[in-house]
Amino acid sequence: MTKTTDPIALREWIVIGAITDVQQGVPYRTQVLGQEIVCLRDGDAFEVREAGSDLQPQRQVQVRTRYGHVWICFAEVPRPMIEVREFDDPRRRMITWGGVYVRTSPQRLVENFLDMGHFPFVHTGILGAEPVTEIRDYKVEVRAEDAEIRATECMFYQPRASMAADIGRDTSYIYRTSGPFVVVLYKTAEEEGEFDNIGMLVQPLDEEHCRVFGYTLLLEADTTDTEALHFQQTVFLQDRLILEQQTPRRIPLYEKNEIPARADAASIGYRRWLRAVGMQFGVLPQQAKEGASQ
Amino acid sequence: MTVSQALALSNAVECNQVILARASELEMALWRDSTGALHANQNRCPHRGMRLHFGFVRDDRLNCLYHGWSYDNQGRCKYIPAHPSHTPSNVIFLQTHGVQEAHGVIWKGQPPAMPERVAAMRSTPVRSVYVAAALARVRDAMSAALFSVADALQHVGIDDNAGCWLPAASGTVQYGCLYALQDAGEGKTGIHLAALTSPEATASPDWLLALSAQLQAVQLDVEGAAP
Repeated sequence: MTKTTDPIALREWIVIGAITDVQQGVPYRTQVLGQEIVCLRDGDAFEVREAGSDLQPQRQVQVRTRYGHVWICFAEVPRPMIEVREFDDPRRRMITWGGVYVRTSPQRLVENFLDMGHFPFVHTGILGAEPVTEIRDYKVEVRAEDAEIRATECMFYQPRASMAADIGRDTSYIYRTSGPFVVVLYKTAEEEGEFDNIGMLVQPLDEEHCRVFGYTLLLEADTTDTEALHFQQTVFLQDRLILEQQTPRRIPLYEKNEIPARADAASIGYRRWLRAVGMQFGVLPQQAKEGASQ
Repeated sequence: MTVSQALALSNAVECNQVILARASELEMALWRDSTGALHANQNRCPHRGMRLHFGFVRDDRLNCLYHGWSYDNQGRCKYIPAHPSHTPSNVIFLQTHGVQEAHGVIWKGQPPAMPERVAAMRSTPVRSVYVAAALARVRDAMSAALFSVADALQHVGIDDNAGCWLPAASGTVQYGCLYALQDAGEGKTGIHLAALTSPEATASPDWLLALSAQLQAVQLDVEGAAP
């Protein structure tokens, strides 16, 4: 695939790796939105260029480091990155997940991250368990000016909500989807009145292949980084099995293709926003018929 | 003339299990309820597109692994776990496909009409293989001398996708085999092989092993040949 022409995708800041993934003096090659790129690091300075078919560096693109990751944007005027104030909280420490390759569209990944309904079936005994499957109503707000979809007042019973949890409890979630490729969530922490902060940062390689990065901002002093990482990887690999078996890989935006329930309010809001901004990248063309990929 | 479409051997799917079945361009979730009855549905949950053969069978319903949406044997969605007290809309349903079981093979639609001699014989599932070759190539191999396991057998075609190797009518040999071919899509062909014996006899271990080995030989031959 060549670089997408979709302006909605091109204006986004997109993660290409954790800062620690890019070594000094070693060209770091990857792909974003169908475009091969190469990143060079000199100290804390990063330079990213598009690479031609001969892999020779060409046009320079914007790059910045934030939230533990290296981000790039192809457009001259990027849409602003999400603000996560919890990064300024000195009590929290960050772990990065590492990149996991997944054969699906970025939007399928975002929707999976926004979804509580799958917890009892996909993350059985960890983030959910039958018979407690009901999704209570929650609120969804689309902040079009910030390209943010916010789901609040989400509550779900979880047998083992985190590494530090030893008993089941009701967990409260807030989801903030920022543009098409980034979701940040807040969930009840073990500490009274506190929220853990977790972000999923999708690197779309092309429309149907992604790498997924993410971070966890931990308050839990008793949990080691390795334990927290293993917890995250266990959960995410359960999701990957599902994600790679959804057809089609590109997301359908019309209800004749996929029927939502009330519990899918966050996904409905996200799809509505994708339609409203006219996103093409990673989206199933409207004329495609139900079951065409079977 | 309609041609038979085999999907699997009967023993490939047990009670309360679901498997993937392919018929050329079509993917199906093929499942057996607790009574042993078979059902085949579109292999895609209409909620979020999840392949249903990754799901589970419980209480005689097919359930999607992603969110547990539950479908009865007519393909109707009967339960959405996220909303336990809510009755699902009747627009949520799975397309269903007719399947039948005969002679140790599961067929999409009708099984082929068997020659009278075969209909009276007992059938024992042996083995299925999927070969990277077109249907026509496999058809030739299965009806060629290559597959003549015992010299006493001769080929009897049933239709384009099924056939038998049977003893000469006058002979004393009382065993043979039935094969059924499946267009599995993506350039692959399934071969489903069952041993045939007289109704009173069971297939001998030697005969079952010989058939299995012969099927392997066909696979090696077909896949080794230049396309």
